[in-house]
Amino acid sequence: MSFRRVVKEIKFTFGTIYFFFTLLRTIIILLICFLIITPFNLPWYLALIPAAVYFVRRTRKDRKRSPFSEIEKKYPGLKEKLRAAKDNYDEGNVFVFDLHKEVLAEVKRVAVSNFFDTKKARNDLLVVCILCLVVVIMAPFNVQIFDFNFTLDDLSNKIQDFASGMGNKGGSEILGEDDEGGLGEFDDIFGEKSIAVLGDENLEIEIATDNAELDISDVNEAEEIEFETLYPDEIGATASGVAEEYIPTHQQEIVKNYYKKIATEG
Amino acid sequence: MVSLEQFKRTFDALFKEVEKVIVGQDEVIEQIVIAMLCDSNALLEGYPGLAKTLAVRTIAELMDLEFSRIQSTPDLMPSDITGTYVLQEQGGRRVFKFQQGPVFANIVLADEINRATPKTQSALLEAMQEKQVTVGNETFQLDKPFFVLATQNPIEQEGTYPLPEAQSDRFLFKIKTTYPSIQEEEEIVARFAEGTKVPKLRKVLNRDSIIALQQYVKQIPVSKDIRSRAVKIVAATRKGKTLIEYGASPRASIGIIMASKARALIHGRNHVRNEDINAMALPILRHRIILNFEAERKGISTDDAVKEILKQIK
Repeated sequence: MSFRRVVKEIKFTFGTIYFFFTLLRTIIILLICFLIITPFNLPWYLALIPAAVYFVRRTRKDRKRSPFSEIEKKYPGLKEKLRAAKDNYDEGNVFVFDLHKEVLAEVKRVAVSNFFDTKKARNDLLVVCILCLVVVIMAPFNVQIFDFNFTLDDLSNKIQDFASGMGNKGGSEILGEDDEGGLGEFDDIFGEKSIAVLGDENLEIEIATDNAELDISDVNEAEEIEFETLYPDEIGATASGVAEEYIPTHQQEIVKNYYKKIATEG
Repeated sequence: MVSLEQFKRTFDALFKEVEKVIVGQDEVIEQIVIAMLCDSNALLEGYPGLAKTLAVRTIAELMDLEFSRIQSTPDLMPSDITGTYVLQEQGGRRVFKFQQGPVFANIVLADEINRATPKTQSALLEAMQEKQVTVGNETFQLDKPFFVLATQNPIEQEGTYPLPEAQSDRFLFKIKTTYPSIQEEEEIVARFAEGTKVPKLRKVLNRDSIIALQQYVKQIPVSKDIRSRAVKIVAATRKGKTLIEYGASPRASIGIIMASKARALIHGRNHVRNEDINAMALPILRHRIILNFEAERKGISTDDAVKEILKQIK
């Protein structure tokens, strides 16, 4: 095996390891940022910005890392030799040949698994799983602490209002009235357009899906309730006055007898 | 094809031979050899009686190189170093013939260089930098390899001419020789005061092998990270103003890398390590930086300042 090939292989292997860990950390940052911005009703793709910044910075840092010095740290036998051999592999002299021979013999003992931090990888993967779970659990609740979208729209409307207000001559003209109280030459009969902006707003109604579900199993038999229990005590019927018909006594007697007769005969 | 094992065996043999004469001072010997392998010069600073001259003389002998010694004094003239034209009779005619000075050797030991006048120091420094000597209108190339090992005494500064920064920058190293330990001193006494046997030295290297080794040193591979660290260390001496007033030049960066390569070769390694950079930073930077008043007030030495930089740049 040529020394040049060994150098290439070391660079590729370590580059892959560095990339794997950078990717894991980038995913963690993406998920954390997503969880942070969701309650503020901000677009999800904003979470990509910090993740991308981290990815670029970490990749740059990784490119500066020397896998050769890391190998030297773990394998004292290669201390300062490997880098000297790598930096001088184009030189063709007795010392460089000797050094390459020595390094090639020792580099065979280097195991890539020694440089893959399994503990770190396991922890990072665990964090990714937990964050994914949190995102899934949080989704149906539609948690909103603050609506940045609405605030931003509101703010832009206010700025627009202010800007259009500044364009008019004075406060009284907002309503489209001129000094004489009538409509001006360029005034709209519906008044100042900026006032009508609110009317153009779309009403957005969101129905929380968790509260809108109807559970049929919850419907029970109708309960029998006594009316009296529902009827308030303080409400009752009272006579306001007595209406009596005046009938002479002898006529009352005649009527009384008439009904008695009917009762006995019939 | 030469192998690293061969290099290591050669240098081990060299140091073993030096040990027959010099007790201790391993670091000093190693740095002198490194300066030679880098085709550069070294400034040795230390108290008298620390075997500076003996060390250089021994190395010259082991490397089968021509050795000359110049004792610097205030009345030493440039021509005393470079040589001069003398009138000679040749075939009944009187002609001027160039008489070579002590600088025409492979290893020149300039003892107590700071006692020579700046004019004389400059004559030596031209030889160090350009590996040539100009006398009158004629320029003479010096033999290869050529090293100047200058010594200076850190005490007795009266009547001396300290080397200007621009000139001391031409020395790759400022090597500090320290006192030996008690055990080493006992060994020195036993060897030189009681011993009767004069050690017989075996020549380990020669001119050609040294020139070849200088070429091999340049081929030692160094990684970009280590090279970058060496440059950062030197640059830090210019940037950090808390302790340092004036920092080292890019010549120091070249020096650190070259010296580290040479050290790696001596240690039988086929690549440069950070430990080489750390070991070479001190002798390379200590004479190239000037501390500020604050550092001097706190009693901080140039070595402390360099060590601090090495701690910061890892």
